[in-house]
Amino acid sequence: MIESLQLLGHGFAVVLTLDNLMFCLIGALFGTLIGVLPGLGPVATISLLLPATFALEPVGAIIMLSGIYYGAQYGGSTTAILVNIPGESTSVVTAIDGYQMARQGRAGQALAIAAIGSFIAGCIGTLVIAFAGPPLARMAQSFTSPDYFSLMVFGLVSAVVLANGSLFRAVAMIVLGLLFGMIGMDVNTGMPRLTGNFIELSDGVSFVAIALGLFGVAEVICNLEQDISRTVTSSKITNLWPSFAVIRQAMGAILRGTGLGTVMGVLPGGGATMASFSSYALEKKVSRTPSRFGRGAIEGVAGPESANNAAAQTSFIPLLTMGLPTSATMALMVGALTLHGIAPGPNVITRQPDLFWGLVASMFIGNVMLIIINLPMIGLWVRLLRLPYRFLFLLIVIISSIGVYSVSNSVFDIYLMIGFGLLGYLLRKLDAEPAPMLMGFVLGPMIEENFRRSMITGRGDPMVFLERPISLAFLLLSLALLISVALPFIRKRREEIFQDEEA
Amino acid sequence: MRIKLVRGGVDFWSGLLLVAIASAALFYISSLEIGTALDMGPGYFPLMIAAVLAVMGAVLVVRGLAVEGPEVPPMNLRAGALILGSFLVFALLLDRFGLVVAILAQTVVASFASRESVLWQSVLFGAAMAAGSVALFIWLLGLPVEVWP
Repeated sequence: MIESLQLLGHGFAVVLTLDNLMFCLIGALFGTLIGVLPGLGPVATISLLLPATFALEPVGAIIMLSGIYYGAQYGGSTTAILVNIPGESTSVVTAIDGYQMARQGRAGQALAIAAIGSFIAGCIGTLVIAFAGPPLARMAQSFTSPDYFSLMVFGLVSAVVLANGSLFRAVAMIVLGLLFGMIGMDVNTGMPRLTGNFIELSDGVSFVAIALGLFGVAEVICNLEQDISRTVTSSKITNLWPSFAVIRQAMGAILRGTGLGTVMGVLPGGGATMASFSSYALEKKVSRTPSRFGRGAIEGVAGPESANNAAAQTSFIPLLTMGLPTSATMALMVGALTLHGIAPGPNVITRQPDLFWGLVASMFIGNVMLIIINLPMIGLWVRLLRLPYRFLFLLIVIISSIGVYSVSNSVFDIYLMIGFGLLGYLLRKLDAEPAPMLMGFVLGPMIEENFRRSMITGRGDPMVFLERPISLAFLLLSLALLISVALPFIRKRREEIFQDEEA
Repeated sequence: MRIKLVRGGVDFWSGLLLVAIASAALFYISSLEIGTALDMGPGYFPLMIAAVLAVMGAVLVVRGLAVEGPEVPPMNLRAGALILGSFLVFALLLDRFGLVVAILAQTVVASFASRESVLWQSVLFGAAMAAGSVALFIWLLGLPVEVWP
């Protein structure tokens, strides 16, 4: 406990340099910006900005990229409340009551409560990382190869739960991602594999090319197909300082949302989107007057907005303590760390204390920055909402081109991105989500490595995965998760949730 | 009555796509050493993955033929072709004509992908993007690319 506080103090010393504060601010600003703009999500943005972070120190880079992620949770609520279009998938439920409040002239209240809830949730979520991270990492240090293999299988299976649509197809997407992850040199023999004689592929498929293709390029094409037009509520935003009564009314929802989000963020497959949906359902259930929901209930804004922020924060825990990404965004963080020569895993906290504690400290500072960025400066963001998509998509395609080129100064990566853009577009049309594929791609090489090592220690007998208790536990958990998703009633609930999201 | 061969378009075509990708992978894997479970060669794990993918794809194809399912939603080929084409234009022009020409050309091609685009506005926006990119990527980040032809 005391040690954690001391180390956290060290983290603040790392962040409180001019450079890192600036990266934190840039991350928070970009996060808010993309949160506000519909049609541009954190996954696409982080892959757009990945190349630009090469020149930075790893600490600065990761501070900035994570700021984008949790910043997007703040910005998403603004669009949801004012335009009734969720800026991010995590703000879908915020739009239900938030937009009603805006129509009743209570936009200021809704925005303020969303920001205050996000702030409280962000700070509590960060505290959880600081105190739960080190013990979890110590536990993970005793993991052996079979344990790791099973842990990653568990992570991949969880990605299926997150995916929209058919379970079978989601599993197929993971396998497809794993296969793309195999491309490149075989680590044990140095033999090129699946490269089709392209020398450019011997280091594997460029991570930025696959992420930008699947999410950036494919999303642009899909957005252009449907005409996005939006109208901003013209009413003036007043009452940005909610009365004490309103805060008291919302406080219970904020704390419940924070608790729920904190737990769901850590669980693989939970994630910020599921957290906000669950929180809305919870608030409706505990409320004495559920009929107010859908007609401008403040709890319907406070709960989900707190939940998604808490989850955005705590989803860093499995990544930083076990090297396990639990969502596409976290898979991008693995990519970012790897590009900077840091292998995510239990040793990050002890070997890279600056990185871990600096990141945790930056989250506190980032949350303070975000509440300032979002409340007094709300007018600026509202004006940005009017940026037409016909300019936004040009911006995305050009930054994609330059970004993917700049990673290794090769035109080949642009061709790769075109290919993955086409694939991503086709997969969307064929009701298959690209997010599990990206997870498979990132985890593929690690899974193979641990599989091969386990088979050597197990003398070629796959029973080795069942003999070790930790490994067995993860495999059983994966199996339970798969069965539970396939069960009829849970499956129905899950479909309902995703239906709401599309509506 | 016309007999419909493909009953579930989404299942059938996604299955076919996966089978195609898996077959391509299997073709390349065939030249790799597979090894045994105890002493795995470079081809062992990819072979497992590709085989699983091929089977899953085949299941989807069969399901698409046998079970009534959703049709593939209509595609707007224009937007897709123009956006992908704009990247191709950028890639082809970059090394020969420099960053500014490549960005302007990409903006012009891409802007036709949106019905709302106004060409002169897109060109103006592209010019601003070109200026910003030169400042950010070349001067600030030192990207080794020519600015002009």
